[in-house]
Amino acid sequence: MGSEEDIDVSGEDFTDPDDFVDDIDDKELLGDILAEKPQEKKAINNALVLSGLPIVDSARIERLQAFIRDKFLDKHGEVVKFSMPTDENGNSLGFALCCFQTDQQALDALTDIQGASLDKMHTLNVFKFSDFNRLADADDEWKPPEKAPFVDRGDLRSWLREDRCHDQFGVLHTAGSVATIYWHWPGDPQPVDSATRNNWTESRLHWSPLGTYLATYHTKGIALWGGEKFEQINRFQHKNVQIIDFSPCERYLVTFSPSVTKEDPHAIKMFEVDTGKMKRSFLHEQAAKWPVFKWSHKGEFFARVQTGKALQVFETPSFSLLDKKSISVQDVQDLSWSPTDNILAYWIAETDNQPARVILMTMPEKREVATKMLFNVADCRMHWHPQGNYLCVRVNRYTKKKLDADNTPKYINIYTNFEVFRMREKNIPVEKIEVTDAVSCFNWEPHGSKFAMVQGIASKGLSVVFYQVNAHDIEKVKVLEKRNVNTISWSPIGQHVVLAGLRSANGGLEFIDTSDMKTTANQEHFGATDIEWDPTGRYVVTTVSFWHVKVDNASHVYSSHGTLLYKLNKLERICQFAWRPRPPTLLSDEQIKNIKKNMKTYSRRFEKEDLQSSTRASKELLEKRARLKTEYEKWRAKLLEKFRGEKQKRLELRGVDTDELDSNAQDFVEETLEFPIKVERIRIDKLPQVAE
Amino acid sequence: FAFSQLSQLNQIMKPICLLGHMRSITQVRFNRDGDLIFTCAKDPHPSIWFALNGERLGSLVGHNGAVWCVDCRWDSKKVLTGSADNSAKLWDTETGKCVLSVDTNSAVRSCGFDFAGTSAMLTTDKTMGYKCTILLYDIRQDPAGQPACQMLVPESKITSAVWGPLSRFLITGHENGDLCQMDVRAQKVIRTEKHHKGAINDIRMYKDGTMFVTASKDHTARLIDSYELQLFKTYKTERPVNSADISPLRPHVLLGGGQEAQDVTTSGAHVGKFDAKFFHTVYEEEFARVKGHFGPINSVGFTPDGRGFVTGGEDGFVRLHSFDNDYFDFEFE
Repeated sequence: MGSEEDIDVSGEDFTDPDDFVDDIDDKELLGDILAEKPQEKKAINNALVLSGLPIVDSARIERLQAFIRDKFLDKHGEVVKFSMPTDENGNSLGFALCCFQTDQQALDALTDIQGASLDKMHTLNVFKFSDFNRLADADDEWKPPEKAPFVDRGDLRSWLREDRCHDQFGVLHTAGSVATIYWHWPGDPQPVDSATRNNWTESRLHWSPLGTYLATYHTKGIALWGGEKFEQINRFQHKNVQIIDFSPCERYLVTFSPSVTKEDPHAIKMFEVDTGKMKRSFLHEQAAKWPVFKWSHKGEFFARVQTGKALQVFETPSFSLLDKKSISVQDVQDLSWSPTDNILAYWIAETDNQPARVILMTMPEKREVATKMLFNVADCRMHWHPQGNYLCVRVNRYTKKKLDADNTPKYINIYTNFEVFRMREKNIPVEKIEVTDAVSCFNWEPHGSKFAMVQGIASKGLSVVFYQVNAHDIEKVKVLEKRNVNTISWSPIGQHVVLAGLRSANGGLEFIDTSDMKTTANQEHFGATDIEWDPTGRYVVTTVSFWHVKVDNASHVYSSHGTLLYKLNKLERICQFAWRPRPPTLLSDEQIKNIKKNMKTYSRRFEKEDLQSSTRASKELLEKRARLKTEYEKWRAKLLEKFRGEKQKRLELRGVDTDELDSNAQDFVEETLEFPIKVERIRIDKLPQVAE
Repeated sequence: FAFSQLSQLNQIMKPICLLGHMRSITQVRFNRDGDLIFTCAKDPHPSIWFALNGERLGSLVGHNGAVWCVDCRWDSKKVLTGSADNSAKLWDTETGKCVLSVDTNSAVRSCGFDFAGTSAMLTTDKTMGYKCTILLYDIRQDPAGQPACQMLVPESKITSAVWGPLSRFLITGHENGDLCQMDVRAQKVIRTEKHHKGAINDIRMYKDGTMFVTASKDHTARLIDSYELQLFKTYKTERPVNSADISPLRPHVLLGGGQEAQDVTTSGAHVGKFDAKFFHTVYEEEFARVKGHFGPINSVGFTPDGRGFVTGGEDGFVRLHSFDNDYFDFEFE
């Protein structure tokens, strides 16, 4: 076909024949424009119906109206219309209608005054006018919902039953276009059956917190996979979803997408994992760090901060506000749940006449169990011990505060305090550690009582400092100076820690056994961008991700003591390495202690098994090599046959046999070469003059 | 265990450093007897060295541009060089005199004597409006200014070329990764295979001419048969491979390469990975590395008896290694 310029169109007639009927409708032609065509609004979203009001007679009706407008409505925006219908006697009917200027104002008012109480007898029940018809049309007779057919998804935890308790990991490679799930057989990872897929995810792999599901990102939403063959479990529609979060119990999934439309303004959606149903959605009201909603440890509650105003704690499975109202707290900044108890910690910023406070509150009782006042606070961060034994609040304090021209505070001479709350002791005592240097990372030792942090600034040399929380004090146990470290990665079972200099810090790795604070190994994975412990604390993996660096994308697998076990570098352009998490152990502390005590009997058995599997592996390798050798010999034999068949021709071309190096030995000429082995230097001006 | 092997090799082998070139080495070749080494570089003086002790026999003076390729005739009597000064020259090995010089339209990228040593092939670059061309000269005619035949290569340019078995056809590696068998006299492409995803930097024939190894920018070297261009083995590395050779003695393949200077973004010699790497021909497993160069290796070669090897690098050094006895005893279980 020729390009358009090649065709001469001057003589052509493009008019339609008389009987031509256009079979394209407008929607197909200009669907995008039609979508924007102004339409009559069917629902009036700026109107609210307020019910649950007291019934008053005509005399008091005006006072009630004024009271409601003043207390509940006017602060949310201009009320365009307000009416309180009455019966023939002029008595109110217990409800009112109001109309705001904009939909948003109505929505704000709705969320704010819903469930507010007027007095002991009357609680407001507010709904949108647009919902009115829907509610009024509801069938009077309740029909039981149809029972959903039972879908057998197999055993979603089958991977835990693997004989030798090997773990799985997912690798996203080939620049993100292929994902593979592997069995981690040390030294020889094997892909899981049917779990190598092209374009499995459009951005990353995301395991659920207990490892049951694998979530993949797509333009249309999130897909969950699980079971032995990684079949699809469910899908959750959310266009252009960017980031997700599971509740710790894996029952709920929270998704966030920045693309919102007029029809669907909710950027955050919450789904039930089992049914795939959306339980609730939220507007993305203020810029906040993900996760916006933080879950309590069992997933019974989730909470968010409305910065400066209130805490909102929601309940599951109803997904409504706990006690139907938010907890209003002036100047609240951030909150955090204990990882093991229903305790919520939040902090309140300092104001002119009030110090900053960190408050611990039990849920759902809303009882304050501890409060700590703090002065000269610029910022606070809350770090819970993974077993909930301690809460460490990192407080950035200042000696001087200035207000900039635009009234944003500027802090001078920042230093750091750590306030350690002992959660398991009576009355939750708090201890303080002062650090004069800048602190760049902080991590608790899981299942232990140590914590580590990086102190100092990079240009003057960083040091890693370990503290130990003892029964009566907090002790500085070790300072490691001059370390190029930007990540502290603890083993999930504690004791072992890796100090890593990731990304621009060149990839130095220091493996430390914190029981005696000895360095067990120093390794380097140049350019490593990520580090991750396996869920059992047996292995550490460092990765150079294609997302950050374009060369040498590989994962290195180390033992917990820092021995390099193998390199995963056969895969091209590795983007992400993700261990599959495990549910917490079912063994009690007592049982674990017993196992540690009898380690020798167990280790003997495992060593034997390891030996067997390694001999099996080497046997397999030998068999593979033998097979390759036979194949190669066959191939060579064919080539050599051709080579021999051409011998006569070769002789003709060269005149002598040159097939082997010495096959023309009779033609060899003996040569004697002399090499000077001693060189003398004589200065030229000392040479005797030669006559011209 | 490969690495402990390597450290042992490193300790015992004492390489001879051939210092004679001012610029990056482009090619290193042995004569068939293995007593002479021919090197060319991005300076205009290809050199001939004694393999025994690394003493320079002499330089070939006459080019005035980078010399891309060098080849020695099977009887060691003549040397052929091709240069970026748009010429190729034939030299007398013994005297170092230029006996024949031909001018081309663009730089000469690869050259080679045929099996009998009676004709020479050249391939030229695609530059300045000139197409990549294969030229054949009959060097028995003296003086010969005109090619006996020539063939234009329309598509991707030739980056390396060798003669096939009995010089019935040429085997050419192209910038786009194509590998072709070309019958220049009949002006046709016999066969095209695409085993590589990147430019083929080097093709080196096995001693009997039945198979060869390619080195490619796609980080791999591949073992391919000469008759059908059938791919048999692949050797994978982490960096572009500039050159590869098959040991005439043991089932080993030697690879040289490294990150191109323009792509090196971070400091540290280990980042560029400029080691010479040894792979097992059959098992495709790397078993040893030899350090030494501080830039990419541009050309490698085993001695014709397989008892040593030579590497030439971007750093301008030519390193001549002879294997220690451990190398000959080393076996894969």
